[in-house]
Amino acid sequence: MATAGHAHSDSFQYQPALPIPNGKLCMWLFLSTEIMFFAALIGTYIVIRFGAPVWPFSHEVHLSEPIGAFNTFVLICSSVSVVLALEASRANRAGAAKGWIATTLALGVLFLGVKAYEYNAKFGHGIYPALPRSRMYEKPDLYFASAVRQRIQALRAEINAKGAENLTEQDQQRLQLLDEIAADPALGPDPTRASLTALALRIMPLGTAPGEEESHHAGLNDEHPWLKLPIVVPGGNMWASTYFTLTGFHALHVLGGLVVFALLLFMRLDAGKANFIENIGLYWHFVDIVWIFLFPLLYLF
Amino acid sequence: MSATIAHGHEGAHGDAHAHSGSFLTTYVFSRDHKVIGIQFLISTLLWFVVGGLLALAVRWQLAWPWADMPIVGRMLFSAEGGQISPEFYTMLFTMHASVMIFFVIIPILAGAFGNFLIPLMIGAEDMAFPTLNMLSYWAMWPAFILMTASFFVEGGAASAGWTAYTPLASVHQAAPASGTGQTLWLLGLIFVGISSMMGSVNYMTTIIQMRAPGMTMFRLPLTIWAMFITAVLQAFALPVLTAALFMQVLDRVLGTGFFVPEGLMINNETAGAGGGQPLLWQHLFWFYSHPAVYIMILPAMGMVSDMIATFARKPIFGYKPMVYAIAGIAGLGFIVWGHHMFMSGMNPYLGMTFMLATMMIALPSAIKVFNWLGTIWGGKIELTTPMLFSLAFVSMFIIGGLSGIFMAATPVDLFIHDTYFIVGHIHYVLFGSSAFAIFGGIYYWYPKMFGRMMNETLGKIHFLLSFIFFNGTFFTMHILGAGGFPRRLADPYHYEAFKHMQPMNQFMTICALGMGAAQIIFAINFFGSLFFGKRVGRNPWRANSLEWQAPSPPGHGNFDFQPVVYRGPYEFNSPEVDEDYYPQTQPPPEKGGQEKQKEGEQH
Repeated sequence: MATAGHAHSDSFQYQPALPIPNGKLCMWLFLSTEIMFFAALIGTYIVIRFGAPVWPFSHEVHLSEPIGAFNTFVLICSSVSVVLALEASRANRAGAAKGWIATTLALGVLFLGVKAYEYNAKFGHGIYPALPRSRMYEKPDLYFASAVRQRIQALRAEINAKGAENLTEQDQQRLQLLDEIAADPALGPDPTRASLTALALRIMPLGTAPGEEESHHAGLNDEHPWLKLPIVVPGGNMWASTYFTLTGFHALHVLGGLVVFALLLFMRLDAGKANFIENIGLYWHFVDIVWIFLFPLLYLF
Repeated sequence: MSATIAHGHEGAHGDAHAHSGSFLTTYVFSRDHKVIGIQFLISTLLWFVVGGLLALAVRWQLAWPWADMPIVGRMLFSAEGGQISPEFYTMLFTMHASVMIFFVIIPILAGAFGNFLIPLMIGAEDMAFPTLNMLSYWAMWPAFILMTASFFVEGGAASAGWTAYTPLASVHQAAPASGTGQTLWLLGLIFVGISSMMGSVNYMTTIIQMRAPGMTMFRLPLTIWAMFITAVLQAFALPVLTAALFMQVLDRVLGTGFFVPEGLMINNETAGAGGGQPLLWQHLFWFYSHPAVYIMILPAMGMVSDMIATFARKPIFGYKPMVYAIAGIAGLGFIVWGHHMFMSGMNPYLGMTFMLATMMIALPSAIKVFNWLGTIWGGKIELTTPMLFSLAFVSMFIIGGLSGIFMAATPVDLFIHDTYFIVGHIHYVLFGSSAFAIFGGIYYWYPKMFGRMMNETLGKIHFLLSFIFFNGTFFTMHILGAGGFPRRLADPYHYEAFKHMQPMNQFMTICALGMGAAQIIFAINFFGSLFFGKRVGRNPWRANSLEWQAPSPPGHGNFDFQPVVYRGPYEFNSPEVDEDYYPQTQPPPEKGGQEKQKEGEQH
């Protein structure tokens, strides 16, 4: 340690308790505060998940395990490349270090890109936390039926706004389909619980418990993506709340790391920068480990 | 030893060259821990005024409900004809507590004193990360601005109580209480959290790595031990609150449902999609806010220990037990948050666990009290202003601590929950203890901060008036609380049972006004002494710890010599030297002294 000191006359002597640079200690302490931050978020998820009477199956909310697994793999690879960058930098091979940092940056961007694709798929199906933009309803009740009715009316108005003479064959077919859906007994004057449930299943079939045979028939929303009818996803609101919050905060942390990696590309990454790369590498591993907790929690349970 | 000594190459030695900075870099965007500490001090004292005025308005309403408020009433409440409206009243107590806790007590202890004292007391030239330190101060400003702005938005500032219980606070339409002001309140506290996080990792790194040679952990002044353990508490408890605040913001802004229960109806409409757990907010909130109670008292305890030892001219009684007691309080502090929730419908068995854990905190607290008394015992007590405030701290802490045991007991708490007994207790701990220690600390370290003494006579008048009026205001609250007087009601006298308590409330309000007026003396003394105070040398109190060996006020880099530490900070009246104090940096006497010591051992 003593050799690392500068020979400044005005530099004081200290008695450090730990044989590591201050920056590294600070990073460890910072990460421990981050652990508590994510512990609170994950704890909240666990409390809400296991306190909820129902929780959606993954295909009801368009959650794809293979995509999640691929993203996990991408992030683990980026953790390897950041270590290789550190190795190269310690060996004073600045060019190689920069190459590995660029690889890490690219993998991080890939992770965020996949994440954006996943978010987009969910937004496309109207899966947002809560109203008004969300099209999810907790149960097939009268609010749900009236929302379906409103959506049908809105679609009709949209098509009819073109004027009767401009309607294409496709438009005619669409109007016909809308009429057919509007004739559903659940949207009539006396909807019953059974008819409402049937309508909900017709728009989007519910998931099946593991082991049962997967239901293969597609719902109206899948067959006709332009319909975008309200859907019933029991537990969907809390699923969306927790999923977007947890992955969102994780993505923000990834983004923070990427900004630092991008800045590193403008520097000469020789042995003098090794400590810095080690610190950002620690942070990057932390972000990786958080995802390794989030992936099974959010995708596999 | 030399093998373990490192140069502060990552420290602030670059800062030592920054003498020629402009006004902006020297006094505004300074990276010098002393300037940042004083910035924290001045900012928080200004918020102290704001929080105090809010409290006086609360007192006005409780003494003379619906009476026109003198002077400012017509201006503030023109719509009500000069009266405080019930909605405004809820805002008053909410913002009073929020300001005092998050903008005054916590930042003044950790931010002002922590910043100013840590490097000086451990013999460092600055914090480990001066820029991070500067950012931790400037992260407070968005919070200041958001909080100030929240007074002017529609619906007024946050008024769901400083605890922001859900769903009241998390649903827009719940009440006038939860308008935009609540969102601004949440965002403001997130910035406070970021500031505290940056501060705490910096303090911990500095204390672990940048102690002067010879300054072992068990030679640290108790102030530093307290600051260190407080930083640990902040680092590990605060992120949980930050996460919870974020989730409440998301509930309010993006419509997530973390804290909004299923089927919540407001004005015959469903509020949010629901599915969340309101009780979860209480758990997350108190997981931070109970340790926060210790964040608000531990540094005060440390500072008082230093002041009492100095003015009793005696070594602190039981130094190591004091350290372990601080650590014990902090450790237990993490597992007692549920005692705020006895009435929330929590599982009673869980309540009992929390009760027992809470009772155990009495143990380390009692160790500290007995050790302070042991330090005073037989000392040559100098009744200076800081000593008076320290003695007040100890006695007020005993009252606040004992009333805390009432609340820790679940059956008793069921009765006094949400009464003025709770309000009395919190003020004995936060005002009678923490704030008195802060006043004492300001009088004690003022000469080090500005190189001039504060006026002792004005200081003693300030102390006497504050002490008397404080007890007049807050002791009465216990009696009211035992009588069932509820907190957070704009007009408790609406109920027949509380009508006879109004005269007592009027007495309290008069005392509170007197206490407020006494602080004017302090303000005059504080700012006047900047110009007219007696100039002092390095060590006006004849104390031992390192900060008193530095110039007053210390320049850049703090010390004009390399501090080397030979002993603990409490060697008063040591037989080794003639003076009654023995600075940590003073080398032990040469041969002669050692022989004397050997002789002493033989006898």
